[in-house]
Amino acid sequence: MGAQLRVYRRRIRSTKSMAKITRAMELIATTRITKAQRAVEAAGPYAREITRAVSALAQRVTDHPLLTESENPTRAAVLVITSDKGLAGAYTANAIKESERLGALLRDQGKDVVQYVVGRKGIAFNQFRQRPMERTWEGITERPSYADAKEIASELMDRFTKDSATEDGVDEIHIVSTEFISMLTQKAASHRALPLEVEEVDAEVLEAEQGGPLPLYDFEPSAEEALNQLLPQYVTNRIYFALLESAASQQASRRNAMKAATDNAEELAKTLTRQANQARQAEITNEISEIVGGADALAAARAGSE
Amino acid sequence: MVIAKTTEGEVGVMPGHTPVLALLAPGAVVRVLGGRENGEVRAAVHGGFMVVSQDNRVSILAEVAELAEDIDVERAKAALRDVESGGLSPEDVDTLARAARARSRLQAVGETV
Repeated sequence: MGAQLRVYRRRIRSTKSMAKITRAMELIATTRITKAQRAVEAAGPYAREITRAVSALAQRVTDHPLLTESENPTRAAVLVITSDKGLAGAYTANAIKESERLGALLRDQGKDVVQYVVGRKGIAFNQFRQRPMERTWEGITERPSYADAKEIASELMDRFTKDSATEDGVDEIHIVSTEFISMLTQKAASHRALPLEVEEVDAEVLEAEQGGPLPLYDFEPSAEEALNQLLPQYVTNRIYFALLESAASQQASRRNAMKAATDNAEELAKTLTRQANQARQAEITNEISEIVGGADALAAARAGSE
Repeated sequence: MVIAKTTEGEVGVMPGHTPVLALLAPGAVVRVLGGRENGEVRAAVHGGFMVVSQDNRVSILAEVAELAEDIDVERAKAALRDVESGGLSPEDVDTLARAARARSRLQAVGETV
């Protein structure tokens, strides 16, 4: 066997084994998306209700410290949710790009940015560039629990309730996460968690989302008291939801990346097989022409001697 | 009817109740009368609130909640014993919360505490 052919065969073998690995990863990711999606759906009703309750309260209480924007915001906390493991396509890159964009915007507005990072990949990115991170969390991105979200939320709420000028607190909390739009599309997006964003929503949209305008609730014991207790829960829920949605997006992104990798590997194996066949054929042709040439030479020599 | 303990005291919500948003007391038990086959659903609810909407809908939202049939009675009893043997001090918020959780679990399954 010729050297060239041997090289081709080796490359085909390694490409095929790689395709097997990526195919397995694709299948694993596929099963995990379903699980992650189910977790997102299960968290939906609670998220809807708490949003509804908080918006009802926010209408009533206007001068709560957690709702009012600081007159002169100087510092903003950004929570970036990335992945712990690689091989998820552009998932982490997109989340980081979005956080960079948000960071630049906040700096333009004259605010310091303090980063909180979830996921090993995001941490590595910032460490490599020697950017400061306030606090990081690892190993929770694939199956986030409510306790994880609570830990992150209490850390952020602590910082938020402090005064930004004297106690090193923050005036705003932003969350950068990846929205799960469909199995094929995930989009990195940023939201401000606190102070609450006042959104102008059409009455029709509101009705479709929340089932009618908000009734005039009686509050027990009082609207302020209720808001005090509800807001931390609301923020925790926002973070929990962002973590869940990011987990689903991460798996979907990984599945797509692995599908593309498998397809490419199979394509490459096909091309290499063709090239190997060609090399083999060339070798055979060469051998034949050698034999024919030799036979001709012999025949010519014999004819000359007779 | 939904019976729950709020920070202001026990409330019972009948159909047609005016819209209310109330905070639940720590370690509360929520009872829904007329639900299920046995006529009652009980749940231990820790740190949450209750929303009564206009359309006769009651939502109970809590960070931790367990239906009575899912509660591990022995574990709750052990937790309560554990906490009480250690002595309760009014300053220790965590321990008090644990005791309240254990108590509400036991109350939800119908044990007297």
